[in-house]
Amino acid sequence: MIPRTPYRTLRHGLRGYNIRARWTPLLPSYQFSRNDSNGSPFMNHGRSSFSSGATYTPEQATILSAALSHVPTQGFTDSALLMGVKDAGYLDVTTNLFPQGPFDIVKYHLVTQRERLGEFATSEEWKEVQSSKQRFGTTDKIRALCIERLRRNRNIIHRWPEAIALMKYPTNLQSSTLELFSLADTMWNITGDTTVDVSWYTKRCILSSIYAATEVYMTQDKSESFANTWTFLDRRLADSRSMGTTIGRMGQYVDYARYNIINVLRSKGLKI
Amino acid sequence: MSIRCAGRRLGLKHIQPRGSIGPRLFSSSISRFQDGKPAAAAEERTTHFGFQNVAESLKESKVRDVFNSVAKNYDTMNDAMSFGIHRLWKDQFVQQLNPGKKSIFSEPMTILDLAGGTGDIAFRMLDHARTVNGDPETRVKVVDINEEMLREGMKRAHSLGYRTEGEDAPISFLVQNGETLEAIPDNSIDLLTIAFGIRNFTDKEKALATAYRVLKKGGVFACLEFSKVNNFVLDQIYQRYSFSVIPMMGQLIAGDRDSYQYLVESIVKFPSQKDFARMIQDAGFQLAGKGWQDLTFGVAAIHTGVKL
Repeated sequence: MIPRTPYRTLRHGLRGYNIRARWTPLLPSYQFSRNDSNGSPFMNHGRSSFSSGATYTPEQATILSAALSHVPTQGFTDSALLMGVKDAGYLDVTTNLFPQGPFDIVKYHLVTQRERLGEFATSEEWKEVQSSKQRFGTTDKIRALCIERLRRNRNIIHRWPEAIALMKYPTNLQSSTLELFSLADTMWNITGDTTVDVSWYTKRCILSSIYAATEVYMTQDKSESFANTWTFLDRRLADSRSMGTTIGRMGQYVDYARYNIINVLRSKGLKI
Repeated sequence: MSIRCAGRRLGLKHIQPRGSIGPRLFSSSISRFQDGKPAAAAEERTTHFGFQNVAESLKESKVRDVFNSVAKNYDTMNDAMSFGIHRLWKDQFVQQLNPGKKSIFSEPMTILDLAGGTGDIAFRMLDHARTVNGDPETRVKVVDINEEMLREGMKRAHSLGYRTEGEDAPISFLVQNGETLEAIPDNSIDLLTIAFGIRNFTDKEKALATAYRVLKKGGVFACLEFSKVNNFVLDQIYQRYSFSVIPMMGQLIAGDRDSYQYLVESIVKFPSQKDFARMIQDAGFQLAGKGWQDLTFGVAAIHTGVKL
């Protein structure tokens, strides 16, 4: 018998419904409670299960973080990279260490901030945030993590459209999409998400799209300390819940139609 | 089988058949470089010279023979064999490296073009530094083991109006063994390039170690070299072409089949992209990105390593 859990979990969308109760026998080393975000063999904070292959040597990290400090004035450009190289005490020609040029700065920002988000999840600050409300649900956690991550863009937000342009460049599209997905994955891991069915994908995809949309909104946000961005984020999260419901209903409808067709064929004598 | 026996009769010690096209081509290829010397003492280390194994001490002179005989027709042959694509590769190579100082606070670059021979890369470097980066001070040292090739380069430099004598000459020519570079001091070079040269080195590890020695901290080692075609079907076509057409072209255009037979054999013998990137890393360089960039499906590849 095929359980119909996938649709149910889809319907619950971002609310983080998990099917552990049903699947526990399949997950032997699984010992932590749903709200516990530490110490699980399934969760590696900071390092997403989807690594985009970017690891940095100390020298590369020095150069790229120096380059990043020039981004507010220079933008994501070759000259920011060149200044980073010179700041780190190397030669003009050393920029050849980064074959993707300015996109390497963008990627460095994405990767390091994602890793820091993982570290944030183990910090005292995160525990405080969690205990600030009576009932701190999964959506609250996701919201807090999105805000935390977006806040880290604030110094360079006026240059972020350049980064988005670089990320959309066809040769970079794959690694930037993967990086976005890794970010969503990291966030879900922090909330303690443990789904092992189709909703694993839908959750991450929905969160990726919400995050990307909010990030784009943020580049145009002129309000005090990005208040509008946070309300935008709230609306998207609310949408996602209804979207999860819609997907769930569509799933039910497809299921219903499938059985109908099979039954009609059976009634015609087909041995299915 | 009979073909292999024929090979042995002619003095071939080692044959590496490659697909169906390899061995049969040997019959004509070896006579010239089998110079009648008895193989060096049995305990001496051997290296490959095309598909042959020769004593390490002999490879250098054999490679010299090859390039002595092709120097005159070198560029014509390159154009004919690659349908002119080698020019695009070299342009891409230089553009990517972007030589020349980029700000008034920078020192002009010292570029060493190893195995630079006829100056193909060197002139492009100078041109790029001047026209793109507005830097007339960047200098190129062209180093080659072969005087004939350097003479061709010198001729071209003079016809282009470059001064080649004196300390501050924009381009200078120097006969040196690339494996040792005795005349080049440590930590003195910004950018060391080698285009279609490292294949012919007897000891590639030693050459890489020397490159590491002469480069400044932050200096870049860049190598343009034939590599392995990744696509199986294209590779079959490429192998057919290189083993059947190129030696014939060599015979018709340069009147020298053996040198071009050596060329295609040495390409097959050269390590793959991944292996060569590993060698660069082992010499102490940090790879740029994954370490290489394929050109034309991997017929050639640009390898980049940085000394940090």
